[in-house]
Amino acid sequence: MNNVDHLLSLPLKKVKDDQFSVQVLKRINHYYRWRSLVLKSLSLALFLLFIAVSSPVLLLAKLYTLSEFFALKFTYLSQVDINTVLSQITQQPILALVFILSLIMIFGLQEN
Amino acid sequence: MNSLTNESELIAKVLISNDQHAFSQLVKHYQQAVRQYCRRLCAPDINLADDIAQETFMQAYRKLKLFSGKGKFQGWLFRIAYFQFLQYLRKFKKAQSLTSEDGNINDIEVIGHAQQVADNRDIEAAMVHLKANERICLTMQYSFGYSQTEISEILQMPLGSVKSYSKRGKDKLTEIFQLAENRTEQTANINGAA
Repeated sequence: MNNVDHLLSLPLKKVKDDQFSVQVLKRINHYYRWRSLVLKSLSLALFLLFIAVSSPVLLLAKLYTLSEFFALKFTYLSQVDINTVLSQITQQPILALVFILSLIMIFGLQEN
Repeated sequence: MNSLTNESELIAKVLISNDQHAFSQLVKHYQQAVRQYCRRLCAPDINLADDIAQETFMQAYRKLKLFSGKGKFQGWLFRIAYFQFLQYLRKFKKAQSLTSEDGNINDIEVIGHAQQVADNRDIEAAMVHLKANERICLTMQYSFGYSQTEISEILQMPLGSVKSYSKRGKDKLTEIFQLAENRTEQTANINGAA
C-alpha cells in the first residue's frame, strides 16, 4: 500500500503550453463575436418584423403608451391597475413585441 | 506549482475592464495544472482532456464574476472541469463509467497492460482501469495536495463518497500492480525455462 502511496505522490507529467492559451483566447473571441452577431441579427429581425406589422404612427403611439406606463412607476399604481395594463400589453402582440425587443436589447447591452 | 502573486489583481482586471491580456496570464499559469487534471479525469483520451480544459477556461472567463475568492482559484477551475466532464458524459450517455461498480478488476485488460505497468511502475497506465471519480479523488489528494474535505467541497460530493472513492481506487491500484508483477514473474519463468 505504501508503494502505491509513493507512486501516487510522484509529480505528474509536465504539459507544455504548445499554443494552448492562444487557442483558448481565440475560442473566447470567436464565441463573443458569434454571440454578438446572433444578438444583433435577432434584434434586427425583431425590429423589421415590428415595422412590418405596424405603421410608424401606430408604433410611436404604442411606444408613448409604454413609456407613460413605465414613467408612472409601479408604486403609484394599484395592483388592479398594474394587472389591467399588463393584460392590455399581453393582449396586443405589437406591444408584447416591443416589450420583448426592449428586454433583449437591455440584456444584450448589459452582457456586452 | 508556484502561486501567482498578482492573481486577485488579474481577476479584478478581467472583471472590471474585460482585460483579455490579464486572462491570458491566468490561462498560461493554470493551463498545466488544469490539463494534467483533465488528462487524469479523461484518461486515456488526451484530446478529450484538452477539449475539456479549453472549455473549462472558456466557462471560467464567462462566469468569473461567480468566483467568490474564498477558495483557491485552481480549485474553482477544477470544479468547472469536473462539471464539464460530467456534462460530456451525460451528453454521450456514459455516466455509468463514472461511478458504476464493475466488480473485480478485469484481468484480461490488466494483463494487456501488465508489462508496461510492472516495468515502469506506470501509474498512468494503471489509472486507466479506475473509475473517473476514483482517479480524480486520488489525483486531487496526492498530486495536488487537497484534503478530502476540500475535494468534497470542490466536487460537491459527500465526504463519505470521497473517502470511499479514494480507498477503492487505492485498493484497485494495489491489485493492478500485484497482478502485473505476478504476470511479469510468470513470463520471466517461462522465458527462463525455455
